[in-house]
Amino acid sequence: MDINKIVIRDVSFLGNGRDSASIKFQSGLNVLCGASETGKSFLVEAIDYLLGGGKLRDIPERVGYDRVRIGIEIVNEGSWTFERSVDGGGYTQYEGIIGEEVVAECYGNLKVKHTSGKVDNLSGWMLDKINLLNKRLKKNKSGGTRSLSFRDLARLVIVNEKEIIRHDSPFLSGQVVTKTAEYSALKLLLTGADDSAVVAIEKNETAETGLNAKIELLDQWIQDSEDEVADYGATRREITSQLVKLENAIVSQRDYLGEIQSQLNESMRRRREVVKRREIARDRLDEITDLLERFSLLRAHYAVDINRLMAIEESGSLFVHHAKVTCPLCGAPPEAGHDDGACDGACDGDVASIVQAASAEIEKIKALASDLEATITSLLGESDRLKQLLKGIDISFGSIDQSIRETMAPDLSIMQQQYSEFLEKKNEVHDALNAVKRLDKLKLQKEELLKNEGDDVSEDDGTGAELSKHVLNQLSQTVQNILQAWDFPDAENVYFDEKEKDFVISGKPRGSRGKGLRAITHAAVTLGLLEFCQKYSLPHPGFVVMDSPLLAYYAPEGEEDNLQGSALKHNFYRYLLDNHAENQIIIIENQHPPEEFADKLNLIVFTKNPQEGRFGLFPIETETI
Amino acid sequence: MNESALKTPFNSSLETGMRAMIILVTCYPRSLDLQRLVDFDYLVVHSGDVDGPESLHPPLPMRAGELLIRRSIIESGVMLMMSRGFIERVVKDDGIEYLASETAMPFVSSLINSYTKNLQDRAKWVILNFGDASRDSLQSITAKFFDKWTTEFHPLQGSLDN
Repeated sequence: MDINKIVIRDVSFLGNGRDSASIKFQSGLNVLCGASETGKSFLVEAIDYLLGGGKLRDIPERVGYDRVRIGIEIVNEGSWTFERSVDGGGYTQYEGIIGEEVVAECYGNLKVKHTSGKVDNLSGWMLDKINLLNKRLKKNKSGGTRSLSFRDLARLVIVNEKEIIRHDSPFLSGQVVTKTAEYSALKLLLTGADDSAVVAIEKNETAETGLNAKIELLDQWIQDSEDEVADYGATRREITSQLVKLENAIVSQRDYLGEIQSQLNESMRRRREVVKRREIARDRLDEITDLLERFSLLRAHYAVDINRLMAIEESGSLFVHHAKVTCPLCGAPPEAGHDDGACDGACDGDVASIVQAASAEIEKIKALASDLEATITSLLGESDRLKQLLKGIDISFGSIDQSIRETMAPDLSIMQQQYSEFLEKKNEVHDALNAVKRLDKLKLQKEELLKNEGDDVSEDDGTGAELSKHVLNQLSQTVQNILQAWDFPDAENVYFDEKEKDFVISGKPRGSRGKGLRAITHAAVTLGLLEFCQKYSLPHPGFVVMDSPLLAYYAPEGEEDNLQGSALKHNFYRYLLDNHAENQIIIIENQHPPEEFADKLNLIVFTKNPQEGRFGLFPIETETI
Repeated sequence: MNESALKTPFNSSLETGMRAMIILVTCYPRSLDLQRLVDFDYLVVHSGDVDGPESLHPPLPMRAGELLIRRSIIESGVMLMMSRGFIERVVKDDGIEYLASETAMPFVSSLINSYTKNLQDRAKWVILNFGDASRDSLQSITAKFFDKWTTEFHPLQGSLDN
């Protein structure tokens, strides 16, 4: 089976207002050397951080850089760049090696948090590429397991300057709690077999398997709750204070809403009243207008009648003085009274009484006309008053109506909307808080279970993981070969002490040597692991980063670990060039590699001299105004 | 025509006779037959309705048979005027016509009431505009009047006295 290898292509620091800083690496041997305090070790930490490490150390030189990128090549598959904020959090993924490019098309996002079996996080993504996704590690003696994280491998291939000189096993971090899992990770690398089957083959009684099952279930729940909380993106404290704030806001909003609603109701009641009054006034005004129209017709009629009567009166009084002539109808002479005759008095006409009637009628009509005038005057007065009243009514209607339509109703609907938004938000926050609480409870339950479990502790090494003697001997042989190739003094009889989980070289435990020798042997073990995995076609990240393996050359603790003057340094580089051309080895060192290898490897020198070459990891900050 | 109707000054023989005399004085020396007198009598008091000077009488709703009643009260007005010699009867080939007498003009001139003066103005206008109108066209004009009144003033019927 072909095992994918990872090659780190570059690491870049980006920030607004600062020149980006970038370091390029290649496959094969890379040596970064130079004076102290130039950012060499910081670069190692940055690589670790970019591959899922928890926190990036805050050094003064990195101020102004807010993003950091790592370009990764998966041999035979492709290249990707991952960008992460210096303050932690997830990754933005880009296709290809984009280096310091400012504008690039986002390929996707990856979370930091490892979730079993998923490739939506950096750890899972990396593991998937090197065929280690979905592996499980035994994490305690009782058979509890957890999924393998890329972090478990990163600490075996990225060895910083503190790590390289530790007294303890190179495979273990020194923390008791994680010991089983760490050793289990080693076992996974060395044998290719994970601990998926551990629970099944556990020979203990049901009580214990039940316990494991419980813990596993709890782990799953904890994972779910953590995801939920992470999705919400706020701390418990923030959530609690948000909830309190929201509840206060909701109460005051509700009170305010009630107040506005009752104000609105009152205004609407007043508007209805005003409208009613306006209708009454308008009806009466219409009635008056109608009446006045009729009365003015009547008045004109009265005037005409009086004029007519006066004309009749005048003409009649003159008429009676004219002498009669012969009756035009019957021809009777004027003096012959013939009122009862054939002409039926037509020629007489009773003019005198008509004149009398006209005078009487004039008086009557005048009286009627004066009554009419009085009525008209009073109606006109009433009409004026009504018009005045209507004006006032219109004004108060206008102001009430306006305040209802333009202020109160919109206010109310805005407040109602806010109110429902608050309620919605509150539910959301409530859910988040429940998730946090659930998480606490689950963690507590798990802790208690683990405590109970811890009571029946181990008799042996406490890791509960076992490796076959055969495999360990093979690994020991590999390490011994490397040491011998380097001309390490007394590199005979290397074997693995299972109790200490470390190598013994010529009868001397590795960890008991001086720090210079601890560093170089740690390097040998780290390389040995890589070689072993490749020899047996087992998955391995395929690259190694080591900070100060050759400490013995410039900072030995004493005579015993002083290798100055020996050929070891020369052999070390020669060996790497000869045997690891296909792997990426990144060595951080104070001293330059021997001159003769300089053009065979990727040499990066931090001069700490502003006038010569590259000053350090970060450019010297130019004078700022 | 009953007694009480006769004693009402409005449209009494005296009033209608005076109007007929004023129309005849105005168109003197022309003589007019009774039908033309009836038509002119309408036009004189309702001149506003035929685009003339403002009507002297307010518009009135017509009652059934008004035309016939009007015709007879105008005729008795003419009789009354003839009994004092203000109007003379002239017999012509196509019927009886009426003519103002010599005493009519001074009598009419002696009246100073403004209503009477207005009547004379309207009469001049009517003679000027309708004096030569044919009998048929006059009929159709007055017929239109009646139609209009009967429809437009129906709601007011009864509320105003005649």
